[in-house]
Amino acid sequence: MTIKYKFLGFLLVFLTLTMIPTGCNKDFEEYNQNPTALTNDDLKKDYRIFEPFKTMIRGIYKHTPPWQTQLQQNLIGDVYSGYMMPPTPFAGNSNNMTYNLVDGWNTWAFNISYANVMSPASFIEKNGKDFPEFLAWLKIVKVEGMHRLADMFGPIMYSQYGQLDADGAIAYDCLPDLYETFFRELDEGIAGLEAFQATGKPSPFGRFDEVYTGDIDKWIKFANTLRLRLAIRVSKIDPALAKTQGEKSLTHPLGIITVNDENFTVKNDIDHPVNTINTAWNDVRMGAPMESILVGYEDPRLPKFFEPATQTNVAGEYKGIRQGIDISSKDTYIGFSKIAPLGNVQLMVAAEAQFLVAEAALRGWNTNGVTAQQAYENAVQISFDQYGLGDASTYLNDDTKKALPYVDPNNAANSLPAGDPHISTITVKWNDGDDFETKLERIITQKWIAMFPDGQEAWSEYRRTGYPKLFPVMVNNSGGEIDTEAGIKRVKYISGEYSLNPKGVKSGVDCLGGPDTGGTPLWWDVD
Amino acid sequence: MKSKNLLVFLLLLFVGSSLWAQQTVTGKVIDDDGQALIGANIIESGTANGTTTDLDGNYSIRVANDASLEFSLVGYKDQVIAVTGSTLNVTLSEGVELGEIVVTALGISREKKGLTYAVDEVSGDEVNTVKDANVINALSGKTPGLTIKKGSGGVGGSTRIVLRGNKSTTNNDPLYVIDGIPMTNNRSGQNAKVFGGNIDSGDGISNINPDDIESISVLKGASAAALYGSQAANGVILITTKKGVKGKPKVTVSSSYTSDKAIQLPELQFRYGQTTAGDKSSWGPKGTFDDHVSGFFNKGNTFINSFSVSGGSDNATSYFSYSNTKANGILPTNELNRHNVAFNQSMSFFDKKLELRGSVNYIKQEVKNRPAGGLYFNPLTGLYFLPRGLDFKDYTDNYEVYSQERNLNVQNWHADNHIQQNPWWILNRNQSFNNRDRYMTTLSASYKLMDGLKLQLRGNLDKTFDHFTNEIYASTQGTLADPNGRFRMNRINNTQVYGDALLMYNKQVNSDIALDVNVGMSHTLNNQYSFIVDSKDGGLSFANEFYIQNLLKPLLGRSLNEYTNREKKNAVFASAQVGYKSMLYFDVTGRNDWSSALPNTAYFYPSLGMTAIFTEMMDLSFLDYGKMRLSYAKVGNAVPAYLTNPRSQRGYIQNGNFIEPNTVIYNDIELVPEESASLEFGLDLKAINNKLGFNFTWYKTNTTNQFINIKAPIGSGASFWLVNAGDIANKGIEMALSYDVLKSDKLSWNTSFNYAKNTNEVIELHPRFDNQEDGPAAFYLSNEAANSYGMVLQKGGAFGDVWGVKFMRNDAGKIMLDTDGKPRKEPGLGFLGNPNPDFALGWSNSLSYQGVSLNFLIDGSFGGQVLSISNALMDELGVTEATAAARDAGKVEIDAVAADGSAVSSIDPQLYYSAVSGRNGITEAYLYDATNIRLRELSLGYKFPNRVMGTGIKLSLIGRNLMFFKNNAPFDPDITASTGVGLQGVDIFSLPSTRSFGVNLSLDF
Repeated sequence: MTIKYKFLGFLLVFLTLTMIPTGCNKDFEEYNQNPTALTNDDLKKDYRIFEPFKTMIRGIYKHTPPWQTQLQQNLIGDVYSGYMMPPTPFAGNSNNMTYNLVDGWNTWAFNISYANVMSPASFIEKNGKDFPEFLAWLKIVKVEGMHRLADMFGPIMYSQYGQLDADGAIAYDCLPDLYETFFRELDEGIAGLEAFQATGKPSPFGRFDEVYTGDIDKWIKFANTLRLRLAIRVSKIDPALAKTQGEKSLTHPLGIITVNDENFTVKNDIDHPVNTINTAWNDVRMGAPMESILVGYEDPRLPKFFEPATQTNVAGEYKGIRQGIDISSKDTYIGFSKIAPLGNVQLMVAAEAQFLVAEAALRGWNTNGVTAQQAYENAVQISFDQYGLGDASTYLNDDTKKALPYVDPNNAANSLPAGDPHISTITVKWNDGDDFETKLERIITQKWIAMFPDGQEAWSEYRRTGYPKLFPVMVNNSGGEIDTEAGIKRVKYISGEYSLNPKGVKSGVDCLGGPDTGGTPLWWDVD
Repeated sequence: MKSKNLLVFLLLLFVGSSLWAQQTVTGKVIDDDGQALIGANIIESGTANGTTTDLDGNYSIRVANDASLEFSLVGYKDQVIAVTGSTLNVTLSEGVELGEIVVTALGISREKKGLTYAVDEVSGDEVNTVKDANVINALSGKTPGLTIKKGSGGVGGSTRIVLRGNKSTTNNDPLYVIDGIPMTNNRSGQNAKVFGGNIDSGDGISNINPDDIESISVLKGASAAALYGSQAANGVILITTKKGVKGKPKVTVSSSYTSDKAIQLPELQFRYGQTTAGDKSSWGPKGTFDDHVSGFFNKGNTFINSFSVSGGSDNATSYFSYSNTKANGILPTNELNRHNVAFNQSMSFFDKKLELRGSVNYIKQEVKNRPAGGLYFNPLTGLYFLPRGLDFKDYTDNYEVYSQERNLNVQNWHADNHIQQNPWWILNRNQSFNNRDRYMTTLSASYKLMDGLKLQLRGNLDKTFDHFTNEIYASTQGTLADPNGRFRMNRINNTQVYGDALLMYNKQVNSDIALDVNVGMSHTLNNQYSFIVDSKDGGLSFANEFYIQNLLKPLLGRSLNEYTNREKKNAVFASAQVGYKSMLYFDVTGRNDWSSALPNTAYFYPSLGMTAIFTEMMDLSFLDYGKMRLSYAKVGNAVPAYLTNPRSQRGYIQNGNFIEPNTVIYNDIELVPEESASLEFGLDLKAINNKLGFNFTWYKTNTTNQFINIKAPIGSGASFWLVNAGDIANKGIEMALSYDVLKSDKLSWNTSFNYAKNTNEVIELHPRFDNQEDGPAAFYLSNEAANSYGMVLQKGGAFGDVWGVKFMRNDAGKIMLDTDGKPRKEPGLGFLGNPNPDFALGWSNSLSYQGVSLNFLIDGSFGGQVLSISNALMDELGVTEATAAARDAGKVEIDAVAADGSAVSSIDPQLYYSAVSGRNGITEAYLYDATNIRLRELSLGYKFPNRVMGTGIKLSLIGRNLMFFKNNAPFDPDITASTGVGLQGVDIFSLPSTRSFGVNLSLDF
């Protein structure tokens, strides 16, 4: 018997011992913390929780690595705007340039904006709730980042970002709704910043702000200019909405950006990625329409934008490559004009703002009495100022110089003779007696020059207005999806969305107003 | 002469014992060979009176006049003999048949006949006869259901072991347990990408000195391993090390030398020259060129020298061993040097009620230039690619040349290409060094509380310090290094602290019923600290200076990172077995795990088993022994550390920049451990006087709740979703048949076959993969689709499925050509094959005649397909024999249709290869049948019949991987590109397989 009790005693002791593990589990929570990961408390110090603003500002136009810039914009908007053209026959010359839209490239164009704008924005929205001034600023940056993507693809995921519906899908926003959201968010952003300014506290944005180093006035002016840009974009499809939104900006006490000091440029020490694409990789050169127009105008900005060609028979001249031509070897066009070294990434200039005012005046909006001509001439002068070119009046008074015919010294088939309808005939000098379309062409052609090198915005305005006149592609590999004369209207949705978010992408296609091809014009792109 | 002092010390520990009795019996205990047996136990039946034999096998005991004496010694059959006179000489035979004891989970010894699951025992001798620098490689072909793939890391490199098929998307490694204590088997640096460039750090198990191994038990199924809970989902390999044996001090010296020769080199051509001067390929005119490849490889040499001393008394035993492994691989400059020191001691007190045991192991290993598989930093790419006609000897002698511009020596190579460099430059100027120091210490105490009840406490500390450096000189190819070179350094410290307590109770309740109960708890703490330095992209300030001070922009590159990975685990567990009349056994085990990785949840893993020895229940004259077993178990694989912590979802800092998290838990689900449920049925039979043995096992395992990182739609806010889903099933049978063809005192011959078949099916992955318009989506275990290859999991497929680019075929199955006459390819990747064999078969034989023994092992693996990315790349450059033969013939035979629909039976070789070869070619053309049959081991041993000057001598000649009877692949399918989860069944310039010859001499004093 005693032995049995002894045994039970041991068992009791033992069972007590076995309880220890359950007690030991108390430090599990602490043990399960990765010492090299961050907590919310870690992130609050020095407002580091807003660090993702940097990612966003550098991601609107992806600064680095350069191959991402190449896929996001350099092989899309920079080419379709007529600004640039690669000498490289990527994928056997059947690629974006010849209208065979490369899904593997455009996937990056699509995803970069989500990974670098929407994802950081949603991180800030989630974790920065206690700081309304940051959230107000965020809205402005977000709209600037995402309207460019909507200009490229059409309907995109925006209001439903990060929210799965019952089927696990993320719905797309149709463009009319999306623009309404953009306008609303810009209003809220401006109002939020004004409310913060009213408190008299110093701006806390500086350490994350590579654009305006925390200057809230400048951000409000930028937001006004952006609202004006978007209003002008929808001016054909919804004139009433456009006028309301545009006039809000034009009549705002701080107004729009007016001097080059207020340009939206991203100031950091990262070398402009196009410099790498242009010189190290030799994957981009001057576009033919740039040559035709700038050489024709003897535009003093030409040497600021491009370098003379090095190919022997055209050495010293400015020579651009026509978009979508037959190229069998990279060596053929590598000797054409390189892009001149670019400084900071530039996404909006004061000149553009004045061109927007010019168009607003043309459309009869309240521009505080500024006429279209005043704004137009002012814009050109601001652009000259930007490049240190002095007085623009000689240039502005020239009513004879026009774009030149295009000659391809390597393949005559690509040349465009004098009189070809694709060669622009517009001159520089304003003539108030011209009709609306001529005035518009003059404004947009000059805006196109002044906005260089932001091909994305230039391509959008080309699609909206048809200006400046650009050259159609010679090789069209779209399989009938894109009309050569009308040109490409948008980028197709990516296969990743069809496989991972099929219902979502379908909601986008449904409000596209046509098939998911590069030939379907976007909502605001009407004649 | 330290060992002499130790001997004296051990002798002093030797204490005998004697007891009063009526009559003195003396005698000698010998084995079948007439050798004296030291330390045999002699007990007077029914009493506690006993003694042991001395150094010469003699004993003396005082017993009652009518007494019987029980003679026993580990490894020998017991004998009970009645005392009839004052002298009693006894011969004990080797081997234990029915009463065989095996070591099971937690180091609990059990009678084999009572086990409800399959356990395979491999003796230390079996792994030591044909030695390998990584001991686990010697298990190849010795037990059914165990798959061994050697990594491409050369000597001392890591090995991939899979028991009963791949189960998990995150980890398929078995748990290694040494003397009852789980061992960390960290293995880092495995390539998951075709480009490679990582360097295998070796694995933990390869550090073990083969001569220290007493035996290895392989617990393949979950039932056997259930007591280890979450760590044991993939089975357990239990290693029992040698301990001191009481008796005369025994000294063993063993020396082995093995020589390795490269076999299975790719078939290359040396008759078509460089295409044009300066070109990378060899599609040029015919000529005669030297074979620069076969002479490149060295003869590999491995020396393993070890000695051990063991001995002890009734109350204390000691074992000491030292071993040195020195090897140079077939790849020039690849060297390994390892020292192992082991000491263990056990002492008993208070009438053997308390037993204390302690052991210390120290391992020091240095490896230079461990080969890296993959395309980067691999000397084999440049070697094989060299355009024919270029002078390799010049590139060998002058792998670097003086540069006036830089005033230093720069690489001399014909091409600036990221996937190839001068092989000798890589070997001399991209050198890597892997150094490891490892300490393992264990203490254990067991106390016999009362008859049948024992308490055991164990503690273990295992610390590994790994130091890896890679010195990459200036002028190394630009993708791989910055202009001033590149410095890589990893310092990885692993610590495991383990402690357990176990209460063991066994009792013969009455004459029919025996009870065996174990209750225990354990605590494990793992901590891995890594400090990773890589100058890439930031650059070095001064050329060729390899230390941190020289990092140019430490925050611009991949540079400086430290990580701590830590996990605590607690568990309580219990097992109970009831035996009825030694014929029927019921087993039940349960274990509850708590892990810091899942701080709020506890997980319970049960197992149930039953065994019936039906030959005890009924008289089956044709069977000597028959047993049926059935078991069911559930175990799990834990969640990776930190995953469940919201902190991990908050972002981190990289190179001074804030990085938001991009992998999130899908729908914020509560993560649970991966779970394996397995059912096992088995049959063990013996007949014809125990000469014929047959084992059969059928099993089925379903692994669910896998951790899968699935690609999230970009609009969800994450790049990847972590899900807890899937169901991967493995079903299989294992059989072993062994027969003693001859069995006599002088001549014996045993022949045995083993067979294993495993089928794997991915039953479910995650619902998000299902709703695709073009069938279930694929989940990539390797990096996605790069180089026209992927290792893919897909619902309805099997683990390890190899995907690649396929020929585009018409409805009649004919290859379609484009307008240029080139074969067209399907867009994207599709299923090509699966590298896992349909079944594996091994045949081993051991013959012995007096002191001479001959063993050989032939094994084969049947079915399965493997892919060669090496051949695809080499064909592109026209350096393979296949491309030369095609050029000789002027055509490649093909069953195709031209663009206009006309039939085509042959096409121009260069046109054909321009379509199928290269990194963006048609991988289907590089798929090979993986069936291979080989003579894996052959050994001839001689044990001198008499001791020579008191020394037992055993000499053996050994051969490994001697010849292939069949192999269709252009490489050895046993070599794997990675010992991790992905990159299976694909060859990416792995080191060629080797054939080894060696000699092994062991002496005991």
